[in-house]
Amino acid sequence: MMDVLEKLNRHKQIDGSMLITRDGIIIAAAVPAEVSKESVAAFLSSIGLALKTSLQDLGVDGFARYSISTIDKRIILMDLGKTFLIILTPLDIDVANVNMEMFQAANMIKKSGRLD
Amino acid sequence: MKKSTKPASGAGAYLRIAKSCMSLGEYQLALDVLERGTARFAKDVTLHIMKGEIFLQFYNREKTAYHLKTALDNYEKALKINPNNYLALLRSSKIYVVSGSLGKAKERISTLLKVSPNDEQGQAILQKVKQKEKQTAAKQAQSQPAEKKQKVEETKQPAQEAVAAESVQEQIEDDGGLITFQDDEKENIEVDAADYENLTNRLSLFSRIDGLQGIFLVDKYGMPIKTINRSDLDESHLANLLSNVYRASITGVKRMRLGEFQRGYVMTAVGNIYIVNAGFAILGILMDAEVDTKKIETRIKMYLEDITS
Repeated sequence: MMDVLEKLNRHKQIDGSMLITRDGIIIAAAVPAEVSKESVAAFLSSIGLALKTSLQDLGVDGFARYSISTIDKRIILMDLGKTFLIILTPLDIDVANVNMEMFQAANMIKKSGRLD
Repeated sequence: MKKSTKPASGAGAYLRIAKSCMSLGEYQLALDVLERGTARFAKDVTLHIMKGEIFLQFYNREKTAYHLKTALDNYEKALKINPNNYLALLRSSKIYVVSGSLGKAKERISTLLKVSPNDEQGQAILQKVKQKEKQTAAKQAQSQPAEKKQKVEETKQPAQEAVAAESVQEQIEDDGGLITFQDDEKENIEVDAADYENLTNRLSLFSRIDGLQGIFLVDKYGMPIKTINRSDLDESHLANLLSNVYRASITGVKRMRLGEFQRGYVMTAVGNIYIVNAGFAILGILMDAEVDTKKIETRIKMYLEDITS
């Protein structure tokens, strides 16, 4: 899984990436040293679960992506079923281009067949 | 997709009038309005919650069991309609703690933490419940013979947990049985009607955008301020979603030390949703997947500039 994340991180607008289980266990992580991967995993799984539960109440079956913008950063959470793919980027990015990279990575993860 | 029952626009009018009365300190008048509202729209969660909020205010002022029980009844009614409503879960669990029904409080909190994992207020109440359980066990042990003292020892928590409980004690403090509100809750209750007017007036910036399914302005606890819903989605559940995801995102971003949450963008099969931090309110925009997000982003920036200027 690390090779998929490392490939993803080669994109000039992606600062880091992680693959976690729905309950926040880290499967693979390639994030900058100043980022606490444990807290990113814990809190993004919480956000993902809050989102999924609320969508279920609405009768909507899950989400494809949730992008969080802060003052200078963007955190993208992609729902892959049993896992979440997380991408950390600067705020101003070419969204379409990063999306393309994410989809490719998601497909490679799904194709691995182990986690979905 | 769950179809909206669509009574909420009428119910929203009752809610707005009640809030205006509350901002003038006319709680009894607000209650009369809500009584009429719930008679017409019995299935509207927000009206029941607002009634609960008023009875809770009465309870805090007069400290009568009747007001506390009536507040609880209203939150319970709301939970029957929507078992995952955050505010109803939060308030009812606090009432159960104050009234000593710790089992019920735990039940409510475990549901709340499923809906909103890592929620700070939820965690604080859970700690409070644990603390009260410990106190009860200790009291029981004191009145029991010496051979049962060992059982008490087993219930003693490690020192670290005791310290943690002490720190969260500051967050939820029921001074002699009062149900007090945290600063942001007070802020949420005491928002001036003029502030709401400022927030709602500027929503016209989003008019005439093709593909917009709805605009939802709700407070931090999912109580609607102004909603325009052209979709088939249930308004109260949408308001709940905005509030739950907003709170989880605010806490998450802060704890991850990644700055301050500005906005979120969810992509789903039924449309995409913007969740925008608009000060003491949350702006939600539901739209078709094809809508140009740049156009929406520009309007959001204008809206935020306008409401803060």
